[in-house]
Amino acid sequence: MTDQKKLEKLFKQHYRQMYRLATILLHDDAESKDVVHDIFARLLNDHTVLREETAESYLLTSVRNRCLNVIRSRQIQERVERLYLLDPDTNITTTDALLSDSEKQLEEELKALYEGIDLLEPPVCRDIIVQHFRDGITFKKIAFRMGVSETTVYKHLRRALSQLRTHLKKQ
Amino acid sequence: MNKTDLLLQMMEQPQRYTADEWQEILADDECRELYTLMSKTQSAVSAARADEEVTDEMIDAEWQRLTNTESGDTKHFTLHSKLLKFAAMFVSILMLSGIAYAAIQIVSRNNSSPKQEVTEVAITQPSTANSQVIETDSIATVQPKLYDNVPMGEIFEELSAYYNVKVVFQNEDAPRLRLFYRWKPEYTLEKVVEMMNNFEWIQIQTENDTLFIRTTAIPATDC
Repeated sequence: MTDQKKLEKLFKQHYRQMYRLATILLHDDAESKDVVHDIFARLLNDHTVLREETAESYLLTSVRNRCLNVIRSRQIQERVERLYLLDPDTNITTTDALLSDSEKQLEEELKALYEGIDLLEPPVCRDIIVQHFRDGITFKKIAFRMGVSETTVYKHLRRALSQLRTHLKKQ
Repeated sequence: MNKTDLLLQMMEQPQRYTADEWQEILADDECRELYTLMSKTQSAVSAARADEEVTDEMIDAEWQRLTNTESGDTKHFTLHSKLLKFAAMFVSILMLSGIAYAAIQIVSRNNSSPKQEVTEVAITQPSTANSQVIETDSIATVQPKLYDNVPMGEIFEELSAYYNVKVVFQNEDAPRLRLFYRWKPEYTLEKVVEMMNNFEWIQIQTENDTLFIRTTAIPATDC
C-alpha cells in the first residue's frame, strides 16, 4: 500500500471522530472541517506515515491542539460570541490516553444535555433552546418572532437552563 | 438588574464590552456557571449535528478536496470554494464595468477627435451629459449599497422594501447566511434575483409579488 493509500484509510477511519471533537470545541462546521483538513494536508505534505496503533491518539491530539490554538488566538469577546468553553485546557486535557477522564466526563455531559433538551417543559423553553443553539438565532430575534419582550425570552431561557442543569446533575 | 441578566444581555453583543468587563462578569461564580452551561449546551448540539451530518459522501468529498490541492502552502487549503465563487463574481462584475468603461472611453475618444466643423457638436455633448448627471443626482436619493458580510435577512429586509415585494425564507438558516453583495439602485428585481441565484447555495423563486428564498449552505453558527 502506498503512503497515500494508507493515509486515505486513516482519513476515512477517523474523520468522524476528529470532526466531531473539533465541532465540540469550535462550534463551527466550516472551521472544524478546516482543522481536520489541515492536519491531513500536513501529513500528506511531509509524507508522514503514522503507526496504526498510535494513529488515533495522534490524530485526536492534533485536533485538540489545533482547536485550542484557534481558541487562544481569539479575544475574549470572540470567544464569548462563539460560546467557547472558558478554560478548554482544563476541560480537555491533552494526555496520551485516548480519552482522558475529563473528556469522558465531558462526553457524558454532552449526551445528557442533548437528551435534556428534548425533555424541556413547557415546549416554549425547548423552542428557545433549539432556535438559539441549533439555528443560531439571537434572543432578540427570537423575542421579535414570538412577539414577546426580551425579558420574557430570558425568563424562559433561565427556566430551560435550570432544567438542563438539574438533568445534568442526575447523571 | 441582576448579574446573570446582565450576562445574557452582554452575550447578545459581546463586542460592545471591553475585555475587562468580560473578565469581571465571568469572574462571578454564578455567571461563570451559567455561561459554561450554555457553552456545553452548544457543544452538545454541535456534536449531535456532527453525528448526523457526517456521511460517507462528505468524507469522500473532503478527501477529494485534500488530494486535489495536495501540494503547496497549507494556508491556501482553508480558503473555501465559497470564497472563490464570491471572488469570481466580483471579477465578473469588475470586468463588466471595465467593458463599460472601455466603451465610454471609445465613445468619448470619437467625440473628442472631431474635425473642425463638428466641434460645436462635440462641445454640446459633454454639457448635456453633465446636466443629466446633475439632474439624476438631485432626483435619485437612493445610493448604491455595499453589503459587507451582512445576513441575508437584513439585506432582503431593505431590498423587499425597495422593490415592494414580500420575502419568504424557506429554511431557518437562510436569513443568517452572510453575503458580500454590491447593490445598485438601477438593478431591476429580476437582475437581483438572477445575481443571487448565481450563488450555488441560494435559490430564489419569484411568485407574484413574493420571493421564496432557500439556501443549502450551513452558515457558521456564530452568525
